[in-house]
Amino acid sequence: MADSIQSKPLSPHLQIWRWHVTMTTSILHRATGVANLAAIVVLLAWLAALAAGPEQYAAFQALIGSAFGRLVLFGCLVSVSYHIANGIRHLLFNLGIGLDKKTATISGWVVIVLGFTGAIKMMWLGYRALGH
Amino acid sequence: MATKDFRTPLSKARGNGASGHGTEHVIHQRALAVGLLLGFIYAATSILFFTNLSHQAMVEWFSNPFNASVMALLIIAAAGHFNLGVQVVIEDYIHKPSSKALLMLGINFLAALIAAIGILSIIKIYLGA
Repeated sequence: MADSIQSKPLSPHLQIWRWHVTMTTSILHRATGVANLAAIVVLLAWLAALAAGPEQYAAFQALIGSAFGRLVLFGCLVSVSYHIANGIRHLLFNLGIGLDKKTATISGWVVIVLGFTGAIKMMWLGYRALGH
Repeated sequence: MATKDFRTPLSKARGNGASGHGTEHVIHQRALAVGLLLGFIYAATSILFFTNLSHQAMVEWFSNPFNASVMALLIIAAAGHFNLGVQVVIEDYIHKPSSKALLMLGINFLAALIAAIGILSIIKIYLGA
């Protein structure tokens, strides 16, 4: 009786669990989804500054160009970039593609890397557009 | 029995999740995601590759009706996708009915506000900021 109980797989337990990347990507998807509100606020501020006129736009550019502004912008871009990459992964999951453990683990690492590289790429393109 | 009901309990329950509209929620979330993806790719590449981000360049970019429309739809899709996503988060973590209802209402208002601010700004830029 005791043996048959012990050999059964147990449901996740507070002390007995193993970290896995698919768990992290899932948590990060939710966290970045909520954090993307910050990105929406920056986007709205940009649009409002554009609409208000050249002076207000210059003030916005000065704010977002400050060290703190750049940090916030980069954070927003990492959040959006990761959410997009993992979002595509989720859409593929919904089509029944890549659901096996091995593929999901590999694609999990891929979207984490893409989240950061996508954000760096967008920052770089932004600097290039500004002529820096 | 006052009225006779010919429908079986099963036929009344069929197609209804716990709250009766789970499927639409999931499909809307995905449809908005695809729209957001296309809009984001278009807006980001066209702005980052073909403008210098100056006020004048951005006003010119927004004077194109297609660009202005894509940006407006992007804001609407973002507000809608955010609204649906945060609703699920609230449903998962907030169990007190009054807090849940208030937060749901708040998120709906926030999404509407995001769309309104975005669209109004875009219209103003389009008409010449």
